[in-house]
Parts: sequence; C-alpha cells; structure tokens
Amino acid sequence: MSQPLAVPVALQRGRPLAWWGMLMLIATEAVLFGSMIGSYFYIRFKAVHWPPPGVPEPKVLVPTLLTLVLLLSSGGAALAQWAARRGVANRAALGLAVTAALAAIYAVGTTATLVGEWHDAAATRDAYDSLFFTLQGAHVAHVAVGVLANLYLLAKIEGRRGLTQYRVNGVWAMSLYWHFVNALAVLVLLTTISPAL
Amino acid sequence: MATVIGRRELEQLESTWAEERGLKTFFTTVDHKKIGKRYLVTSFAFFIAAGLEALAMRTQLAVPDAGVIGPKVYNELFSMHGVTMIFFFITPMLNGFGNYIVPLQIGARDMAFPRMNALSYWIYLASGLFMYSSFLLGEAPNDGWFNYVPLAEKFFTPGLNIDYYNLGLLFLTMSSTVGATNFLVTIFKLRAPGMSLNRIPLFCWGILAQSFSLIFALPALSTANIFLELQRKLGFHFFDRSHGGDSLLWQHLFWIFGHPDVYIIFLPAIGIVSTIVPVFARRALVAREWMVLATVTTAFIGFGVWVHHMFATGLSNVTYVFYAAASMMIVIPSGVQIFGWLATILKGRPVIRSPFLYVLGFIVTFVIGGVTGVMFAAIPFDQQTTDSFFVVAHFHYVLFGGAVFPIFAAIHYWFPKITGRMLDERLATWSFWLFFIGFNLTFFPMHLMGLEGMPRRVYTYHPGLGWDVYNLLSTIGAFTLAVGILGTIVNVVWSRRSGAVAGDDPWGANTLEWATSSPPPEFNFAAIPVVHSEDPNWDREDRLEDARRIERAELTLSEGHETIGTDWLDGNIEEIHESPSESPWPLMLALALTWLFVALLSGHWVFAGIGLGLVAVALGGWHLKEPGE
Repeated sequence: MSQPLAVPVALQRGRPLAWWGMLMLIATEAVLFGSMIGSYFYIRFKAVHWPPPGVPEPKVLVPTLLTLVLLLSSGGAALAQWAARRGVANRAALGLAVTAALAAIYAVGTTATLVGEWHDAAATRDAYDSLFFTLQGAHVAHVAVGVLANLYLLAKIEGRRGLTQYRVNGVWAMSLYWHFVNALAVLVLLTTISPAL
Repeated sequence: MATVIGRRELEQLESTWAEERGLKTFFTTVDHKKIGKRYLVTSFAFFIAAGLEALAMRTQLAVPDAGVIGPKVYNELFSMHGVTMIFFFITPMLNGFGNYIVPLQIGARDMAFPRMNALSYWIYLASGLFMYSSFLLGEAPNDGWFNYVPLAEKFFTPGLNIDYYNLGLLFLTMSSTVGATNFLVTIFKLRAPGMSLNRIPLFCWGILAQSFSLIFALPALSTANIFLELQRKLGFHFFDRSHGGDSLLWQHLFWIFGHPDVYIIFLPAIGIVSTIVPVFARRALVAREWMVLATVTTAFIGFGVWVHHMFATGLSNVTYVFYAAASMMIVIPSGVQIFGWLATILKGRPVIRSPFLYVLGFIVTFVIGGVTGVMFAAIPFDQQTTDSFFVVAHFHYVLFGGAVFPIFAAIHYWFPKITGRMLDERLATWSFWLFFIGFNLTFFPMHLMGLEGMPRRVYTYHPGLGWDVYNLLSTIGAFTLAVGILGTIVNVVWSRRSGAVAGDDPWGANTLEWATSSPPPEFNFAAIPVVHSEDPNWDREDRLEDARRIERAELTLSEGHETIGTDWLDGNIEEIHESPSESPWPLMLALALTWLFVALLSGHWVFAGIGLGLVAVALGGWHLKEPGE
C-alpha cells in the first residue's frame, strides 16, 4: 500500500479542477460579450438616430418576462450542485432537468421573438440591427449549449453508473456556467432594450 | 540503492503511466511531454515557412525595381509572414516549452486537463493547415496581419483571402483559449507541496501572465473577426459607414487584442530569460519579487495602451495624451527587469554558454527596441514615422529581440532535458554570432530607411531615393540570419542522436525540471517533490529526501494516473487528482471543427450544420470513458 500523504495535512476537498476550468472559460466569454456590448455603445454614441429611422423600437415586455424565467434556472442549477455534492442523484437530476426546461423556454421564446423582429427589420438592414441580432443570437446560442450539456449530464446520471465523482464535477462546473449565462442575460437584455427605455 | 519497496513503486508507476507503443497512441496520447515536443516541432516548421516568406520579400527588395515578386504575391507574403510569426510560431513555440516544462517545474505529473492539452495541439495544427491551404487557392490573406477595414471588406477584397484570415484566427483562438485555461489551472492547482505563490518559478509566472492576457485579450479579436465575417458572408453591417457602421471600430477591437498580444509574446520569453540568467550567473535572481511584479504589471498595463497604434487616425488629443502617458509607463516594469538581470549577472560569476549568449543578445536587442518604442510614445514622432520602415525596424527589435532570441536561448537550454543529449557548443556559438550579426544587419538599416521616408508594405521602389544601400545591406543580413538559423537546425538534428550525454542536470540549475532524469519518465517524478524555497533544485537535502520518499512509498501515488492537487495560494496539499489517459476524442473534436470551418469558409450552410452536429458528437464521446475507469 502506498501512503500518498506523508506530509501531515488534513485532506480537504477543494473545488474540482473542472470548476476552475469553467471559471476561466467564463472569464473569456465575459470579455467576448463585453466587447460586443462595448461595440454596441461605440456605434450607438456615433449614431444620430438610435434605432435608425424606420426601424421599430425593440420589444420590452416579452424579452423581460423571458429573462425572468431564465433567471429562475439559477435555482435549479444551485439545487443540482447542492444535491450532486452530497451524492443525492435524483435531486441532482431534478435540478438539471428544471434548469434545462426553464432555459429551453427562454431559448425558444427568444428565438420566436427574434424571428418576428427580423421580419420587421433584418440584421442586414443597418448596423443597429446587426448588433441587436448578433448580441441576442450569441446569448441564445450560449443558453442552447447549456441546455444540451445539462441534458447530456442528466442522461449520464440516470444511466448505468449513476453519480460518479467525474459527473459531480461536471454538475458543479455547469452550475457555475448557468449563473454566468443568467447574469449575462440581464446585461444583454438591458443593452438591447435600452433604446426603448 | 533501491530497496524492495522503492523498486516495486517504480515498477508500478512505470506500468501505470506507460502508453502503448504504436500508431494508435500517436493519435491518442495525452502526455504533456509528447504534446510539448509536437508544439515545438510544428511551430518551428511554421517559423521556417514564415522565414522563407521573409527571404522572398527581402530578395525582391534587395535592389530597386526588381521583378522577382509582383505586388499581389507580395501582399500575401507580408500578411502571411506576420500572421504566421505571431500566431503560428512565437505563441505556440512558447506554449510548447510551457507544455513540456511547466508541469516539470512545478513538480506535477501532467497538465490539469491532459485531453484538452491534446485538443489544443490538434486544433492548432488544423488551424495552421487551414490558414496555409489558402496558398493552394492563391487567395492567402493579403491585407496585413491587422487586416484593416475598409480594405478587408468584401467590396475591396472579394476573394476568400480575408475569410481565411477571419475563420483561421477564430479557429486558432479556440486552441489558445483552451491552452491558456489549462496553464492557469495547472499552475494554480497542481504545484508541488510547499510551492507557495511566491515560489513559483519565473518561467511559470511568465506563462501565467501570458495565459491571463490571452483569456482577456483574445475575445476582442474574436469579436472583430466574427463581426467582419458576418459582414462579408451574410451582409451584416459593423464597419461600413454607409449603413451606420464605423471602420475605426475594427482598429479599436483589433488593438485591444493586439497590444496585449505583444506581451502575450513577450512575457513567457522574459520568463525564459529570468530562468536562464541565474543559472549561468551562478546565483539567485536579484530582486525576484520585483521581477515577478514587473511581469504582472507589464501584462496589466498592456491592456491600457492600445490607442498608441492609432495615433494617426484623428482621435482627440486628450485621448492621445492619455495613451501616450500610459505607454511610457511600460518603461518602468521593463526597466526593473533589465536592471534585475544586469544586477544578477554583475553580482554573480557568469559562465558563458550558448543559452546565455542568446540571453545576452536578447538584452542588447531588446534595449534598442525598447528605446525606439519610447520614441513612438511621443505623438508627433509617431505621426511622422508611422507606416514607414522605422516601425518595421522597431517591432522586429522587440519581437525578434524580445521573443525569438529567448526562444533560441530556450532551445539551447532545455534541449538536454528534452533529448538527454547536449548540443554541440562550437556550432552553437558560430550559429549565435551569425544569428546576432545577421539580425542586426537585417533590421538596423530599416531604421534609417524609415527615417529616409521609405514606406512599409511596398513591393518595390525606384533607385536614387537614398534607400538602395540600406535595402541591400538588409537583404544580406537576412541571408546571414538564415544561415545562423540553419546552423541551429543542423545542430539540433545532429545532436539529438550523436550529442554528448547530458545527465540529469548539466547546467547546475535551480528549478525542478532538472531534478528528474533527461528525458523524464512518463510520470515525471517517482515521488512528488516537496519544496521549501524559491530555488528547489539547489536545496540538496530536499532532493535527497525526495529519493528517500520513494523507498518509503510516500507521495509516490502509484495507484493510478494520480497527481497532487494543492491550494492556489500556499501550495498545501488539498487532494489527489486522478487524471485521464489516452483518448481519441481530442483529435476527433479537432477534425469535426475542421469540417465546420471548411464548410463556413466555402459557405455550405448545410455542411456547417452537420459540422456542428459532429462537434456535439465528439464532445459527447469525450466523456464516455471517465478517468480511473
């Protein structure tokens, strides 16, 4: 038998490496959205009319409600993390499912709204529209990736070997991802509806 | 002599960590040392490609009105030369050393995410081939490495040239981001017990600062590339005035990335210098804390100076003065480092060997490049010399001087560790002098050409403008430099098999990579080293204690693919990490991404959709086999 820890310290379980990796990914994604939002205001402050003449003001009510729905998913993510760390597989699965469902509502709803708005003024019309759709499109894509990752984790946990440590780490990292995507949703919402406020 | 326990531990480690021999393992390996070597070889191949592009340009410019290369090809050559040197040579080359050396220097057995490490290499290779495939179509990027709009818009450059640029760099960015994440987590979480933050080796500090800069700078470049590609391919508007866009937005986004990128290139390189100087000065680095602080400060200030690349764009004077002042501030941390190295050399008993020669060459060239850099912070001077050869001279002094000299120092310094053999010292010395003289002969006359008014990015010039002699000298210098580089290549190829046997620690160095055999075993260290100072390999008693630990089977972690996880601040043991072994999925994912990018380039949206599906499948497959299974 090897004695791994001859140096006398209490063995404590820190955050998993996956969590740290996710933190770095989030940092870089935050700058990605930061530079997109920065570009939005850079162009905006150079424009005379915002939105340009003939382009309707952005819708406020529906996107705000959808964002509120998305924000609830942070609760699901927190539940999944809490349960996974304690090895309660069914609660962790519930948390993952709730998060995925709420986020899917947001993604589908936002996509539908965007399709309608595209019909009124397409992204190819003007810099305003290009920024509007690129910013929202990028965010919906991030939510969609999160939904797929959650469903994958869910299938794994419901599968043969249940809640392994590797999957616990995955849930933990995804939980961080959801808090980030949701915080981002607020910034993206405030940016895109700002001309109507 | 090894006892029964010690021998059993070693055997167990060997059988756990050994990768299968054969072709399959070539595609599935996750060993950081193999991946590091691949990075080094691949990026050196790109160095040769970009060097040949430079030689072609210098040949064309050797005499006035030459007809070797026409303007179209010349544009592609200088664009690809810049793109290749910056994105496909210097950064990946430094990351190659990072990959090989960082886990060894911090006493770990692999990177934090071994499969992601393989992924970052495969994406790097794929994106490099993607970018160079543009030459096959004769549509290589041709609007400079900074790819300014409006020239880069579809109306002015209708071919695939710029699409290659945008997509190729987006592709490569994935590799750099994955790599940077991996380095950060590795250095923060996998250090040997006792290696607190203040004991992190200087090279690792350089990689750390570089990785942070990559994480925070690359997204600005990605945003610019995404915007421009949407504009080119789908008719969005970001940069065109006619539809409410703004062409300066590109320059802002590009240089918000571009200036930190100078430090992305430079910081690991000075980490190499700070590693080599104390070893050959035979004493600990002077003002070590200040050197670390200077590294971090440089990275930080580097984010606040980008407008000094835009002094000729007509922004307000208030803006200019702010950025000029910020740019001058960089002198302070750079000065601290120069004086730190000089003081170390003066206070030590220097031994001149080939790695140290390159370091001395670095100090000389970098100081010259730094001085012309300060001159640019004077706005009127910048406006006078902008877009002239003076700028070309300056940035080659800082980039070639600041990064390529240290890279060559690193080749000579770590070659014995990587191969177990010494380079031939006589050939190395000859190569160095050709390299040093050739470099200065190439680039010093460019200062004078620039001051005489020769613009950069011109494919030829007329006689009688006072540029002829300088250009001829510069071309002679370029070929001298090439011969020097060739000398190093010959030396490496020959010494790899036939050099003198190096032993574990030929230089008497202070960092942990020299505490294990050359080349190191798959598991790096039989017992994870325990560290009590900043110069662990000079602590003889500690290293003897490591050897005794093997006999007691302490910290050997021979049960599986295991390494120690420590807390990021003090380096106390937190837990044992089980790391994954060989996997085909990093390569699969890189191939799926290649499919996606080729489809995006050619505008086949259905194929792009299939590519996305393939990416998802590869990501799913990635997690089928979990570590320890």
